[in-house]
Amino acid sequence: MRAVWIFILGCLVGAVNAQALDAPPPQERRARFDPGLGFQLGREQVGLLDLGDTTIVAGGTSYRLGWARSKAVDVLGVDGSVRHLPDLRHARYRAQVFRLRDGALVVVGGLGENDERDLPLEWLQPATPGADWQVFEMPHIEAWAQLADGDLVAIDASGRIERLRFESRGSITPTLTRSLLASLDRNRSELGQRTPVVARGLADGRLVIADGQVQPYRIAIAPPEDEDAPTGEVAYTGFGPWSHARDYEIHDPGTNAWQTSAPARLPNGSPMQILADGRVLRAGSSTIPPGESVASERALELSRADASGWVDLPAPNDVERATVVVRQDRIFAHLRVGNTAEHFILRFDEASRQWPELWRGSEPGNERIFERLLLVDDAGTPMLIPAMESEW
Amino acid sequence: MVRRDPRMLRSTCAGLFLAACGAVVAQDLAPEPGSAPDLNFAIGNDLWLPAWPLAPGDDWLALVCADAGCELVAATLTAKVEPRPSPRHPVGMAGQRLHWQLATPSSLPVIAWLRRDPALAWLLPGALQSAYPAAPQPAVIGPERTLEILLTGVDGREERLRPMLTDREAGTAGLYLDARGQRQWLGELWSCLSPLDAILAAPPPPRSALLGYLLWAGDLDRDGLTDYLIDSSSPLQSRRWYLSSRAEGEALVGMSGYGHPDAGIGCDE
Repeated sequence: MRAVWIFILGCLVGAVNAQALDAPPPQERRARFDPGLGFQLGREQVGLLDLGDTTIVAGGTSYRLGWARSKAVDVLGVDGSVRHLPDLRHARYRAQVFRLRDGALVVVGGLGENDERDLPLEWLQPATPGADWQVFEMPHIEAWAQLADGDLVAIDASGRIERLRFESRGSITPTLTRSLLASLDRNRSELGQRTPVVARGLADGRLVIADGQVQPYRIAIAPPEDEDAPTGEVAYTGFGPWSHARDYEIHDPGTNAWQTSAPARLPNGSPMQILADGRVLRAGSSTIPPGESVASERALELSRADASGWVDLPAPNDVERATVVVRQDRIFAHLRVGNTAEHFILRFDEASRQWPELWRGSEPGNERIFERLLLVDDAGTPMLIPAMESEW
Repeated sequence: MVRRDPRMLRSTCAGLFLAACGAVVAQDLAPEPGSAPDLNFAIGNDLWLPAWPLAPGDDWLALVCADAGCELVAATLTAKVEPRPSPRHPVGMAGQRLHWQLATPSSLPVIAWLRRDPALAWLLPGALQSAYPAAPQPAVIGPERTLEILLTGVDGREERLRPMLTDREAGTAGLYLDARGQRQWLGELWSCLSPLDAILAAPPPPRSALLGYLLWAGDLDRDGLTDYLIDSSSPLQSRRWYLSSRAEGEALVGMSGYGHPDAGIGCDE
């Protein structure tokens, strides 16, 4: 009789174990690698950091999660490897990820469970065993970027720019030193969730800030009436109607001054993207929202290196359905074939001004294209490119 | 910094009084004892003014500018009595229709009509040193996306007209003059557009309209320093002359009269 009970108990334990072994990972931690396709994530609108052989994926959301925000952080390798890092303290989507010079990771920005935007900054040294994310409170920041020296910069809506330097020296809790850069001479803020302010630090030390909405003019702020002010010493602020930014600004660390680019030709467009050399790419449109009118003109505009003007790039085929993606100094377009599961990637070749096809594939089963990180081989360099919705 | 001139406030109140009553002259607008008389001038043509503020005559000068420079040329004013329909006046509101004409016809636009005055000996026909719009060194309009005008004064030094936000919440702005190491408030600006951000939101006025506050700069009073003709885009007494020869104390310029029409054009013009 005892043997029977042991047998039954053994069967039960075995069944439970088998179930645990066979159960799929929780939706938000799923990162399935399909050779030739790349990773199918369990979430979209993730924060991405392309490190070459690996890509850090942080946060995100999914309809399969009931649009709950995710705390998951994964390291995905171009070889198909997946490594999970400790969960963030604060669930978020549309976050940004940076890696500091000492290898520490920083996750900033994004939107939280209730779309709150003043999420704290989180810092992690992944090389330290048992380390967890350290939280630093932050006000709402319009844009983040990393400077050539590894420091981060936080740009707020008033144009104030703070430089953040983290030093850990092996500790799991870093020290944070803050200093200020020259403020932007006008306010720049997000124009809806799809048109945030974007920023990028360049290898030569410059900082580029683009997109969002701005006011067209600058006006000096009068000093208090009882204050003597020498002529010429005035502060300025933005002035006039807010509208989609058509220009961008470049900070020169040598002079600690800002230069404004020439405006793009078309008044509206999809989010600007900043190339590694400081040029800015914009899928411009003559209407709001882009593509609403049949008569709408669309053009891919790329700024000149000296910011003195913009040139129209030849548009990829089926431009209205294309999403333009910048990775380092390369420009890609992602397109979906109709409403099918087939999609492909073009890469812009500046020398020939052509868009040769780089990759084509089909999404298996009922998977969501927008949760896909496509593994693309660009002239021997493998990279993961997110499949994204068209924003034209 | 040069303080705001209390005379201006008094004069503004006087202007309101004028607008309400259609009075010809208010006591407060009269020049102060011992000082030179204010300029009597008008902007525009075929103006209708309430009451009978101006007498016809050929003692007028027109300020005109060509690419080569600016000058004062002889002009004549004709005035015709012309009532204007008014719901409160059965026979119409008394007034006059004014028309100026150049003694020598010209296609050049007239910036201002000025009445000659024996007490203003420098107000004579002839060429004027100009800093804007016609100038040996063209003014820089709105550098660095501002609504400022940077010009070379008639003495060769840099001068800057600078709109400044005086009250961020209320959205009010003032016009300041920076010159010779001094800064002077010249009065409120764009009060017709107030609150500025709301009005500017849709559709925004063209930049040229916002920069239209400077009508002319040059040496009207022939003292070697820059004088300014300003249109502040305010409903009352919008057009003003600021003369260097009328400056008091550390001021750069002093106001010398409001242009006709000084009331009633409001913000609709």
